[in-house]
Amino acid sequence: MFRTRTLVAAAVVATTAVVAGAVWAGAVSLSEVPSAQELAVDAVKRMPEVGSVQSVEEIVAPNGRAQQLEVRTDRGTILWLDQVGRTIGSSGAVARAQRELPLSLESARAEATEFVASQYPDLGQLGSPVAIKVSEDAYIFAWDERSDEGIRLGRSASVRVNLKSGSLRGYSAKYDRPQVSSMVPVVDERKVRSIFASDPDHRLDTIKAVTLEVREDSKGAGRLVWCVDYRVGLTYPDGKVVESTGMVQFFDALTGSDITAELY
Amino acid sequence: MGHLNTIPMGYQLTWGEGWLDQSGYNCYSSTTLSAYAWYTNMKDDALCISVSHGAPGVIVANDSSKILGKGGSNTSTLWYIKNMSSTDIADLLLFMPIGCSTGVTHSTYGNLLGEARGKGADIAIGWEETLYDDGPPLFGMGFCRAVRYTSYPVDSPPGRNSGEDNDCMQYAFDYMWANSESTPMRKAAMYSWVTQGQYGQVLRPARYGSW
Repeated sequence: MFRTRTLVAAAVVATTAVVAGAVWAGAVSLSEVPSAQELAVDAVKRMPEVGSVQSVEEIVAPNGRAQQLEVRTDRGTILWLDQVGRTIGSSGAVARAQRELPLSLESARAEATEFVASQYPDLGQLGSPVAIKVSEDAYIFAWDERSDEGIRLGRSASVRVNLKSGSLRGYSAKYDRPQVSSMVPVVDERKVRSIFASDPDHRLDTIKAVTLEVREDSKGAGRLVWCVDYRVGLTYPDGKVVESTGMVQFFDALTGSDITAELY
Repeated sequence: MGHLNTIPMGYQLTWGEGWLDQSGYNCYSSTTLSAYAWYTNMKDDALCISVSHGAPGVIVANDSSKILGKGGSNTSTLWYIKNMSSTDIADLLLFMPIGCSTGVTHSTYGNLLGEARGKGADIAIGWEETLYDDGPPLFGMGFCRAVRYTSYPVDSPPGRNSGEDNDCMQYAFDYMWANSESTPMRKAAMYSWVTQGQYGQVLRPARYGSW
C-alpha cells in the first residue's frame, strides 16, 4: 500500500498562523446558525459563476442528523456545504454543469441506491449517499457510515453512474469497521487547531474542517483521531496566496500527537 | 535519438522508474529538482510527468521555485514556459503536471497546457480542480503502469462513454481509486483532468514527440 503524507514543502510567510486563527476565530455558535437557504445563498454569492440557488436539500446521515447541504443552481452546478455553510465540494467546472444532462441527478441517485442495495446489501443500510458529478457524463455517489455521535466510521461505498448509458459500476466498498475501546476524545478540537497552526510548515495553509473519526492504523488497530482537513497555501510571484492541494493530518484524540504517518 | 527522459517530480517517485524503464524510456526521477532544473531538463525529454502543488498557471518545485505559463521574465526562482524558444520542447511527447488546477487559466500567468503546447508538446494534460491527499501520486503511478502494461492511447475523445474507456487516463484513475486511502469525494476530484493535443497517441514504443 502506498503511504505518504505530504506532497511538496510549500513556501511560507510569517502571517499564516494569524490568518488561520482569524478564519476560525469567528466560529458560529449553534444558536446563531442561519437557515439552509440563507447558507446556500451566501455560498453562491462567494461563487457567482455558478449561478443562483435553485434548490437546497439537507443530506441526512444514518443517525438522523443533517450532515451537509446540497445546493443546486440554475446553471446545473451542485455545491455541498457543511452545517455552517462552508463549501466542501462542488460538481466540477461550470462549463460542464451548463450542459444538459441526459440523466437527472435524481434518477442517477435512485439507480445507484438500488445498485448498492442489491450488490452490497450490508452497505445498503448506510442511508442517503452524497452525490458528486465529476465529469460531463458521469455521477459518482458515495456513502459514509457515521456513528450516533457523528464520528465517521470505517465503512464506505461508492458507485459511478454513466449518464449516457446508465451503466453502473461499484468502485469501492470497505466493510471493515475498526473497533475502539473508547469514543471519548481527551484532546479537544481547539487544542488540535492550536497544535496545527503552531507548526511552521503550515503557516501558509488554511484549515477547512476538523472532524473526529475512527481510522485504522498501519497495524490494523482502530484509532480515535482528529482529522485536520487543510489546503496548502501557494504564493504567486505577485505575492498573492492561493489555496492548492487538499491534505489531511491526523492527531491522536487521546494524546494530541501527530499520527499521520501511521494512518495515511 | 538520444535518451528518452522523464521527470516525475514531487515525492515517492521511484514508482516511475521501473515501469517506464521497462517501456523503453530512460527514466530520470527526482524529488529534489528546482524549477530551473525542471525547466531545463524538460527540453531533452519525451515525457514530463510531475506531481507537485499547483494553481492556475503555476506549478511548484521542491524548493518552492516555480514554473509558470507566462507573464514575466525568468529569474533564479521563476521560470516561464512562454519564454522558451519556439522549439525548445518540440521533442516533448507528453507534458502532464499532476497538481491542483494545472489545467486552469490564470489572468496573468496564463495556461500551462496551452503554453507547453505552443512550444511543441504534442499532448498536455492538467486538472481543473483541487486534488487531494494521495490521489495525485497514485494517479501518476497508475499512468506509468498503463504505459508499461497496456497498449492504450493516452486518452479518449471527450464526450465518449467515459468511465469505461480503455485508455491510460482511465486506467490511472481506476488504479488511484482502488489504492487511495482518501474519501470517495476527494478521490473523485482526480476525474477533472483536461487534455489538449494528440490524446489518441500510444506512448509505446518509446519515442520523442514530433514538431
